Amino acid sequence: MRNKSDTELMQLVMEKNRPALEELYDRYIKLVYSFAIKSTKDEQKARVIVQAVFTRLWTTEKGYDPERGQFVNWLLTITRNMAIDHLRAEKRNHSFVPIEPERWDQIADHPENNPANVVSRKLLREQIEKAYRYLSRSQVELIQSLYWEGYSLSEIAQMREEPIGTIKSRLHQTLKILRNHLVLEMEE
Amino acid sequence: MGTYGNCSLSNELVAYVIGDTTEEEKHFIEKHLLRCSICHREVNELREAWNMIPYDLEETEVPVDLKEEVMLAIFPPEEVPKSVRKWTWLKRFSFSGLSPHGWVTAILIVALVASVWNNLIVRQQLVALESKSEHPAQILQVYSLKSANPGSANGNVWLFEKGNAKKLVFHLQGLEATKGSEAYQVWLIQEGKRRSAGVFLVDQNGTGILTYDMKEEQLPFDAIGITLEPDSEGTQPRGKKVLGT
Ligand SMILES: [Zn+2]
Repeated sequence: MRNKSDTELMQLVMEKNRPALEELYDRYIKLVYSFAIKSTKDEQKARVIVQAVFTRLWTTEKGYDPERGQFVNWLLTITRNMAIDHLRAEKRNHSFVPIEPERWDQIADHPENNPANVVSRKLLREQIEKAYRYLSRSQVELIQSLYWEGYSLSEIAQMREEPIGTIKSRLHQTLKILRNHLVLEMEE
Repeated sequence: MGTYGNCSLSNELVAYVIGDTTEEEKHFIEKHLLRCSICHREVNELREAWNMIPYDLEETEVPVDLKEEVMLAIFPPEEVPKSVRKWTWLKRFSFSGLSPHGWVTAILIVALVASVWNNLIVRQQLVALESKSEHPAQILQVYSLKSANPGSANGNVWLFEKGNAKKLVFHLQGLEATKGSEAYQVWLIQEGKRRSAGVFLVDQNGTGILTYDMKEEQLPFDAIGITLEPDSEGTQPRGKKVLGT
């Protein structure tokens, strides 16, 4: 199993091969668990999310399509959706847009921006941390509520009592800054 | 491919990238992207930035028992065996090798699934177990209980062994609230004979937890049933069956 690619392993998982699932677990548990902790700040909730993510890998019918991007990004999208579902279930008094569990966006295929292939995650993290320094406080808060806590743009607009257009353009600027500084760092 | 020099879509593009649009808006943008290479490029760049956010993670130490827990939930042991005498081959679901807290950890799985920590009795028992934990705990068997009537009730039962002690931990959900003196009662069935393993009530979500210390001379049993009883005093079932193996 060790020398199989993520795609090969996921193929085996679809064929109900348990060792393949265990190998994917060993490869990615740290990432998935860290993600769940960052999102929920709670060990018990993080455990529930990890459980849901690997159960999803085991039971998915659509499976992973390598054409649409890297396995790790697909996995992180599932993780984020599970975390958001969990957080939303806790805040049931709000109205939320339902989100399709396996919806995920492909990452652009420029190799220099391909996180897992080109730079190690640790290095990338350092770079993102540097890029974060260029963000204002309200921009960092926006990423926190939107990405990690799963609030929708209109919910954030409501909470902050700001027009939704303002929130969208803040997000636009935030992503632009992150990207520009990441690209700069990588070119150095 | 035509380009539109003055596209004013940037706010809509960002909502599209993070998947926060209506179907209609999504359709509109996707149609536009086919014609407009500037916006197309913009979407790719925004998406790259969005997808990189999770790499800002601080790596967290993963609890050592998590894999066992995850795999046990995905690959439950075989269906209820004819007799629990078959325990020995089930020992692969072992929690040995973990810290002295293994026994507690094992039961924590149940508590985790249940998320019901306000059950004082269970809590006290956990404290009691923690204090005498030289031997690691093992899960010998997991039983799943299915509703005897149409409905969403279900449950899991874990049989733990630690040293010479064996314990059943029940986690049941989707049960109706009890009225008056009513109580749910658990029965261990062996060759048609039923003996009580205790009574429990459910919380406002219909979730109940019960633990039961197995005594050596009571072994074995080959099925589990749960009934809704008029009170908690019975020694044989009187009410209707709600769950069973
Ligand atoms: Zn355009």
